[in-house]
Amino acid sequence: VLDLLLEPALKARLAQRGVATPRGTVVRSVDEVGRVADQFGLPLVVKALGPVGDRGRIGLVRVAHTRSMLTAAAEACLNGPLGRVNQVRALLLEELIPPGQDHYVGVAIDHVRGRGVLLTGVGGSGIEERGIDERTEFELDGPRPIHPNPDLRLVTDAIVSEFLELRARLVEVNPVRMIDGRAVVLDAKAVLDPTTPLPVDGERYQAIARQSSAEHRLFERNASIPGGSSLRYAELGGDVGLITWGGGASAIVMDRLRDRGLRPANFADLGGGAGFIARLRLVAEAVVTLPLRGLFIGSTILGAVSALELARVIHEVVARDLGTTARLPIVARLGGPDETQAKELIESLPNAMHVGRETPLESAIDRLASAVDRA
Amino acid sequence: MSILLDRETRVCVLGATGSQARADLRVNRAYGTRIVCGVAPGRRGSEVEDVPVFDTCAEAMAAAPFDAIVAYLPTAAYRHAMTEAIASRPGWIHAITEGVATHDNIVIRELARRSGVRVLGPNSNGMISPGLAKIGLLGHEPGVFVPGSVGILSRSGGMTNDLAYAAAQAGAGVSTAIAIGGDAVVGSTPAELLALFALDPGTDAVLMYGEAGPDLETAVAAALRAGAFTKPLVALVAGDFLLDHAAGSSFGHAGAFIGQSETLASTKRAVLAAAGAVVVRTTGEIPAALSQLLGLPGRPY
Repeated sequence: VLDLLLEPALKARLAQRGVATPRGTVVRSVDEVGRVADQFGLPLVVKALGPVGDRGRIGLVRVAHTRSMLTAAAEACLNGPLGRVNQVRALLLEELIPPGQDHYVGVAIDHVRGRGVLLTGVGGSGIEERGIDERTEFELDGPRPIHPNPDLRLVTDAIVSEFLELRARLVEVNPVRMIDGRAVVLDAKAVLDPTTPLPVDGERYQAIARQSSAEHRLFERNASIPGGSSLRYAELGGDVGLITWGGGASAIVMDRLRDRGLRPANFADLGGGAGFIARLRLVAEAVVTLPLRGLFIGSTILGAVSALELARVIHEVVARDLGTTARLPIVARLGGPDETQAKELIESLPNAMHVGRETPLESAIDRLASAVDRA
Repeated sequence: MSILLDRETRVCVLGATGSQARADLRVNRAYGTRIVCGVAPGRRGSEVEDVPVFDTCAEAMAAAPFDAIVAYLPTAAYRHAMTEAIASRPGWIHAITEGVATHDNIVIRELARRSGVRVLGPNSNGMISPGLAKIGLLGHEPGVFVPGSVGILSRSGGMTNDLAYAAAQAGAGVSTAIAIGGDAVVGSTPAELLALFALDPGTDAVLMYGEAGPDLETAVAAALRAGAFTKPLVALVAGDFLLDHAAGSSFGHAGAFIGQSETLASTKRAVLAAAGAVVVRTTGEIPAALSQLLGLPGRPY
């Protein structure tokens, strides 16, 4: 999940720190744009709000000089194919700022060195290709970095403050435009750490939005399970169902499916600790409702959990929801305590195979791939 | 032989009265770990499995001196509690806690380094020196971790089990296995821990599991090239599937995501291989690689 604090919310926070931003407002339907034109006049900049970078280059930022252009731009960004693909839910309409010198200022985390880092350079579209000019490291609990350009120090201090207060992964303004010696932030974005709560009300935007009502239901039910926050689940559109747990095991399984040309129907990492069995049941019930050509259940060698206990849950859900005559190929790798009994139970399901600790995870996926091919 | 943890290491359990900590304390003590005290605010005078509990790490250090801390902390309390734990000056602190904010993680790592205290984790399931001692959840299943001569460093706690099983299949067993943590920032990097294995006469080779994400492998490669680590290193790096998803997305471990080229699993494999590591593509290849490098007969996996 990529968590973002989108432009309007971050701009509002920056404005409270004295940073200049264009006048503007957020709308959620095309019907509202006429009112905004009445309020601010024309031209207006139409900016699609979604989890996508370099919006100008892909047509999600447009300048409207007339009301008909404004309506057409809003319609395209909000309701057109481009808007749907990029999960656009709203538009920011802003006054047009005259040309000037554009700068990029960002504050991010250097995960390897464990430092904050101030990034500065030429602003505007294409920053990924152009790269940054200067990189200044700083300790998160130490003195703040200072922008070499005095005109950009207020903006820089404001985004460093937001970076620390939000405990964000990244806060950036691009561009910040110099107009008559005044720095105006035209675009701003924060990438949040999923583990940190927002200190104030703000629109938190998850880049991987819940895609289906089944996902919504799963997370609603999960909310009442102890330790529920450790569940990671997403539907991915493929046809091999995964009931997996552990970040490492999940990565190995996903890689091997990719190597074998199979597409996962979902990602699942059940997390550990309290509520594990309840989450196993929840995810199993969700996965078996997906249109599948194969199903994999398992992880690395189990520690304290009984393989038989897990097998009982799987057996119950599969037998009940898929029926005892289903031909869906199933491979379970439940290696650990009681794995012999787990094998007996799993293999009582039709077309199901159990492997133990002696079979590497990748080989278990290979067996599923062969079974899917045969089926 | 082992690194960091053996029968003599005196361990304090921070957050000792929580359910997971209690359960692990019982199992680990029975295994042989020398757990001398616990800490839980407001619980001074109580006991967990006959282990005395104190309000603070400072009180515990004064009454029941310890060498190391294993920390089970609520995420909201992590920064404050770890600051207090570091101030008690143990040799190292292994944080089990999952879901720590990256900013808190960085601040604590920096404070620990300035204080001369090693932090391992967070988001880890522990450490084990088979036959000697263990902390956290690692090694609860008997027979997976066999005493031997292969050090293990793993981004994934669960994968530590499979690596240990593979080492046993090679006929080698494990000296010390450490789940270094799955977060974007880890208290101790593989390169830092590799330096300890380099000095351990009981470790003949190291087995490493890495993932796409922040570049921890370049420093390992540099250690190999500089001759700072001359024992065989076998590495498995996963996370190619992230190429099929938006940059920056994370699915399992919070520290597994791709951005610049150095974060790709394929880049990491290439960097390690160029520096002389034996890079395997599957866990099934590990026993043969290890047994060949160590001149052991091994067994088919």
